Amino acid sequence: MKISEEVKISDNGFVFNSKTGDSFSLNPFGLEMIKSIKEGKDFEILKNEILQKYDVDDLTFEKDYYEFCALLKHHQIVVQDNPTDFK
Amino acid sequence: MSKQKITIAVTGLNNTDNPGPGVPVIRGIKESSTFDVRVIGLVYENLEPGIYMDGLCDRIFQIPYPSTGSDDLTERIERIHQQEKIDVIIPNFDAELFSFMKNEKRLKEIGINTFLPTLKQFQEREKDKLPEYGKKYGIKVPKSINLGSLNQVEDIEEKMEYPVMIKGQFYDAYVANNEEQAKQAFQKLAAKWGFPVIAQEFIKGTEVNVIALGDGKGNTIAAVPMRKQYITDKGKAWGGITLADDKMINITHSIIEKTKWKGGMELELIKTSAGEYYLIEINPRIPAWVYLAVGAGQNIPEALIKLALGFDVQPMTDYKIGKMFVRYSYDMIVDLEKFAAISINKEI
Amino acid sequence: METLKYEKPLISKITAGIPNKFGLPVKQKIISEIDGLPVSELIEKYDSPTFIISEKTIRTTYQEARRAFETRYPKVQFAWSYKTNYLDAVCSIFHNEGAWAEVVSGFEFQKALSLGVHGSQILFNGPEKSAEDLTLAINHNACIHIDHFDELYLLIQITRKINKKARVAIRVNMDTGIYPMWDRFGFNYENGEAWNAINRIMLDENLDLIGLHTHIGTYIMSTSAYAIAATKLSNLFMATSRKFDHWLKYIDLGGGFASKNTLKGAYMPGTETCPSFDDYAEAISNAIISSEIPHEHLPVLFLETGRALIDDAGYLLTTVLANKRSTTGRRTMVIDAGVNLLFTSFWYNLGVYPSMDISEYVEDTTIYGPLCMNIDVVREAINFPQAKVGDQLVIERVGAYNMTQWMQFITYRPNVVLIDLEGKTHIIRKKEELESLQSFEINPKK
Repeated sequence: MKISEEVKISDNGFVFNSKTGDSFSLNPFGLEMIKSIKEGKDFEILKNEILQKYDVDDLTFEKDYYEFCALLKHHQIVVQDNPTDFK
Repeated sequence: MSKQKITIAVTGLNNTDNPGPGVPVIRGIKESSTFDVRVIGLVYENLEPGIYMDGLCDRIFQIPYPSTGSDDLTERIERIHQQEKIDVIIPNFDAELFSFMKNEKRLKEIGINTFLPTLKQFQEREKDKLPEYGKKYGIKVPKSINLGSLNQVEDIEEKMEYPVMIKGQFYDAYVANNEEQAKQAFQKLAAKWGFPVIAQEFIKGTEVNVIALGDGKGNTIAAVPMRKQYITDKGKAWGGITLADDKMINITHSIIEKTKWKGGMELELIKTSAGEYYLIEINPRIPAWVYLAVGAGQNIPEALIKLALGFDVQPMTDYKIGKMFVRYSYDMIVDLEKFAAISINKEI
Repeated sequence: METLKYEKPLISKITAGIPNKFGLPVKQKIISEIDGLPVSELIEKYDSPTFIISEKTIRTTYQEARRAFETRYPKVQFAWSYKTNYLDAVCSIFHNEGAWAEVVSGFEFQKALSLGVHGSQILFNGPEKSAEDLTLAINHNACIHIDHFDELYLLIQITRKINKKARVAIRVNMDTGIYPMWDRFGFNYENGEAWNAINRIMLDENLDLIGLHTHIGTYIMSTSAYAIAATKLSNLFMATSRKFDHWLKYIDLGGGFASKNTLKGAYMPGTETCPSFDDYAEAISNAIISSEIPHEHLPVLFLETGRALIDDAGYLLTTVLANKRSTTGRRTMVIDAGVNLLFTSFWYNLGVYPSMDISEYVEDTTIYGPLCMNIDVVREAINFPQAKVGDQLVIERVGAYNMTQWMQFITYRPNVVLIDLEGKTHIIRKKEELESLQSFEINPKK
């Protein structure tokens, strides 16, 4: 998953997508996640980091992670695949 | 003599094509000869133009809508007060007034002053009570019927002739030329604003307005009559001119004296060709065209602050006749940072 | 290494112009206990969902209402509106506080009798009274509030047949300036129908006219409407005295006082706009006292307020079943209590609160009930923190109507638990079981 180049992320949690003109706000944990995703960390690496750092179990995090990714896709913040390609 | 430093918080910075009074109120305050004012803008939405106007506000804070409960609103203002030490708040939306009137004491206890009508003054002027209001205070008002069901639209004919004004409980009005149109308007308004819908006699004439300030003891501190020269499709004045009309001033004095009105107000009147005046509506706050009064010589926002701070304020009786205002729209170029700051941090 | 507190990652679109509370540090109300008992323990013991009723709240609310009226008017009598909540335990608390019974069917009448209410302390309202019901009411010396002329003539017939007197009042409908005006129950004041009914009753030797009743509507926020109603009934009261030299015993202003719930479409929350008992009492008492009725003949003032006396005492405990995203990215949450239990959710924006501190980040959320049915929506839009599956929530102010209008649909109705004054819990209505429901069925095909 790759964050679109047009998306600018500020340290105060403000996200601006210059392709669509939409802006978004992130909570602090959302900001941490999106930065990690931008750095190219994949789910497994991210999961290990988070589980060490935070008081959370792996299934809860997995669920939240994929919900967050779905929102990023929905808001066109990540580069889109065609969902019916069934890759 | 150096001016007294004070901090004033103002809402209603939505200077759109249906403008709130916040921006003109601030302009009036800034022209005060008594006060050196620090302005705190209180906004509900992140695109209120006042946020982006250079030099208008010293600080801006987002506040929660009154509909979320006046406790939330008051707590937010208390937190802002801890940082900013607000001396006076001037709320400028009808929808806020209830919350601010309710919390007047609570704000006063921590040192925030207001100058608002009482709940009774606020409620007895509501649209569906206009006939009683007219009777009680001896003012001519149009005949009206409160409609609670579609069937009652048929009763309109018995009491008045078409055309009639069909009005929503809080906002909006349509002219209906016949029963069919009245029914359509009734349904639209009932769906939007609930019951009752008000059918009001259509008074032929010119709409004229008075902006006024009452001191709560029956004295009229300021009063400036105006005629709208052009009205937008939203029913708002686009241009207006001050009038020399003693009758309008007398009506205003009489209402303020009898009701002991406290705070800013706007009277909406219709002047017929026979020279009679009918009261159509009372807005319980300063209207958006307040800067015309300031320009004509009565700085109503400044006087309101003085009253709120407990000063002895003498009535202003002079104003320049034939002063005009013309509104204009203006595209400001602003940076994303301000939008980001108000959206994320809820303050600037 | 100590781990940090986890928060669910969130992103929310900033909509220009539309208020967006996301990210604002809001103080989230939490209901962690009811009358000192932790919500988690109540759910563990009685399952989820469960209705909880606080005896303490019932009694303090009732006493507050009584005080408001009794300090302003010399003779006041409340009658508990059975249809609002007719669970035996609830009715018994009201009767213990001194309330009479106000019933609107043969079923409710018998329920009141079974709880030991004396027949003469039952007000029998409503448009549905069969010959059998009326006979029962006459035999128990109840106050029959006549709704229409057909009922009046039926009553005359019955009293002749059984040769007994009936104690009656009429229900009057009227214009009190509120919308909609209820004109489907009772006899109209303005067109003279009510006065005609009084005249017909006074002619009949078997009917003893003792009172006048009205019930102007429901969830009435305007106290002045009650003042108008009280004035109009006082006029009829005096007219009756003048023409027939007969002093009626009571004026019954019915119910309809608003509760603190927020009606859908209302701008301000109900907690802020709902008049207090003092406001209603002031308006009503003043109207009667300042009417022409001489002081020595002031009637007893009956009140049948239901909603305002019980709504606050009821809670529904519920649990989060799932969180989902709609195709528009909107957050939706499924809980285990739906419109089958929350009839009032059709007209109120019910208050739903977490039972513990979940997260300071709220998001605009739709709350669905558990039914496999599209209409099962508890809240269309509410700013709600990020609750997880299994988190326990509390829905407040559900004491009125929900436990009488609930549906046995798709699933069982849950336990109803009373917390008594000592903080002890009692199941006052058991969770339904397959057997109890099937006991009504007869299956010829098995």
